[in-house]
Amino acid sequence: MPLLQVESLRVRFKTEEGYVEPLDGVSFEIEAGEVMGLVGETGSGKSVTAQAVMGLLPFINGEVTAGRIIFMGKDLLSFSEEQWQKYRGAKLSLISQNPMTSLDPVYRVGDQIVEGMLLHLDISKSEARPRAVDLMASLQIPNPERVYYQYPHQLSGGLKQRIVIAMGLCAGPRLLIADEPTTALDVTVQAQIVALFKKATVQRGIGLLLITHDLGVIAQICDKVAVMYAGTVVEFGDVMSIFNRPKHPYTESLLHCIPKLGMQKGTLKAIPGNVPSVQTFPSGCRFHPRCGDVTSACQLQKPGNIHLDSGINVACLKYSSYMKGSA
Amino acid sequence: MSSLVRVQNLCKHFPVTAGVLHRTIGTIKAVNDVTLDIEKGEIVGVVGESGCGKSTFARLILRLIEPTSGRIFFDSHDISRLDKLQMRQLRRKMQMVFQDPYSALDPRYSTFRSLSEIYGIQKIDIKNNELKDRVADLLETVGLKPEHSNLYPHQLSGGQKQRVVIARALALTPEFVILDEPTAALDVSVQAQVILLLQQLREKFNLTYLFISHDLALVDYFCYRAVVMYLGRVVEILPADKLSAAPRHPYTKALADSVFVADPAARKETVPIEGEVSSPFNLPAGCVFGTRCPHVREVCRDTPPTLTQIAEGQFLACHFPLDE
Repeated sequence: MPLLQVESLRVRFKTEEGYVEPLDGVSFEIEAGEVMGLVGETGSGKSVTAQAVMGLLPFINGEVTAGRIIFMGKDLLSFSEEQWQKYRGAKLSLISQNPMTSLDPVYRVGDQIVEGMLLHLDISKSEARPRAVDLMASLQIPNPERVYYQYPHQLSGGLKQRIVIAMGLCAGPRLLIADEPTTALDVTVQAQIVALFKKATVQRGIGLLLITHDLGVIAQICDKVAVMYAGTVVEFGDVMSIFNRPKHPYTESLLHCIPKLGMQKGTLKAIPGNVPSVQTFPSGCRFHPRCGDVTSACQLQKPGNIHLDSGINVACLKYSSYMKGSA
Repeated sequence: MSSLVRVQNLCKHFPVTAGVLHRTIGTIKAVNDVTLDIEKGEIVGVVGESGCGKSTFARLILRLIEPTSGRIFFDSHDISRLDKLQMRQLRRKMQMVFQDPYSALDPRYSTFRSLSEIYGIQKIDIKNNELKDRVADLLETVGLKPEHSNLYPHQLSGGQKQRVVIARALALTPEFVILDEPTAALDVSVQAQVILLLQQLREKFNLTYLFISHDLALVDYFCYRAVVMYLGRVVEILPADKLSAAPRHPYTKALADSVFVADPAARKETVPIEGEVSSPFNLPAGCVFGTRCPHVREVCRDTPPTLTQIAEGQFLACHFPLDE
């Protein structure tokens, strides 16, 4: 049984102009000890997916209208707020986008890690402190005893991000969700933090849901990847197959439009058009206005999730003839 | 030599003040002794991590900020000696595209007004109907439609906004354009569109670009030469395609090795470099990269290496360069 299973998730938000539906058809799975990447462009619904899994949608006027989220065998969508209090931050935790704003500037960073431990674990403050220092040391923070007593403004970007990761791991969660954890960092520091994430996931045997727009980061540490476009997971499966033999036209074009080191000049290909916003999602397949393989059916029919023999799930009408089992 | 832009020993030091009396307690050497020649028609990339001085460098070249010392020549005019009026005339030939198209356009200006304003500022005598044609031309050049001229920034997507900013930079038919991270705020699919557009425009108008970016792969793809900066100093200038293939400076190598390639078969097993860029406040006496360099020796800590030419168009500042 997978650690986390998200199935045909559909989410809507109430706005002043009526309802908008940022997610429609999000499915993926994460096993323990595995890094799963969720990749997509702005407005594709990556962060909303994270918020749905964390049960945070009710606080931002959102609701899940269809689908299932099963975590450690439990249906998260049926949870009451009391049950959520026991899970959120303890069994699953979220590291949000900007490390600089996740930390309270007026508290010592060590105390911010201890705060989470006191809330979720049945331990005293004097027991929590050495644990926090150990945790900081395991995340390769130099001089953890000294850093414990420092304030966020005294730390560099990379150190702040390590503290935020420590806060996410402090209660020993089974699933860690990291939303663009390296976007604000320089490339040399990004390489360090990404290595740290991989190590933490494997050593602790937890699941990591890594949200990013950077296909390089995905290729570096993920075991599986889900590619999102306009609120839909268009392709999900093993990272090797998806990068080497992309099935969905969007995945394929996406891989062609990022420059790579040592790439031959003149080989960069752009995807025509713009990323649609949630108010302007097209009918049928949401990628059809920009797709090179578009047919008339694509404009009308929203493709279901097709499970290919290679283990890849793809949402594209091209593969309708492969339809087997889960449609 | 037919350098379009020549920068000699350029420095910019910002004073750091503290206390009620704003006493100067030190200086930040944002740009430190930078020398660079940009040939006509060339695309030169400037790469480095945040705080390396790449944006300050760009602003200095356009004289948007005054240098502490050093000289800048444009078309063999020493621009630091020009007065305000002469400078304004010269600015027609040198333009800049800023990083964030969302803040580079006035939200209350239509595209037409954003693009036509510049002719007023430069006091160019142009009739109203000519202006309309000119704006329509500009929009077409950057791949927009005439109807976009009545739209306001909030009605345009990020990519379209950046096209308007590029059109504005081209309005006065410049020779030299500084592109300060022009695609950093855009999605990858749109980034490729803008890069392809910039390539087309360069050929069409015979432009020279200075392209500032933190994305090494993009610089490798788009530029002829790359300038690698670290803490205000140029550590290496090399052909862009050698960035990852044959870097000579340990920092260039660390930077190139840190870039993740979008290919799971090319996974990196080790972290290329530990530590972070140190504070620009108290620079080390010797090599700026000495505190993180894996090959550091005694001499690096005392004597800063000077930037010396090692091949045609290739410069290096390192006591112990990597093998070719």
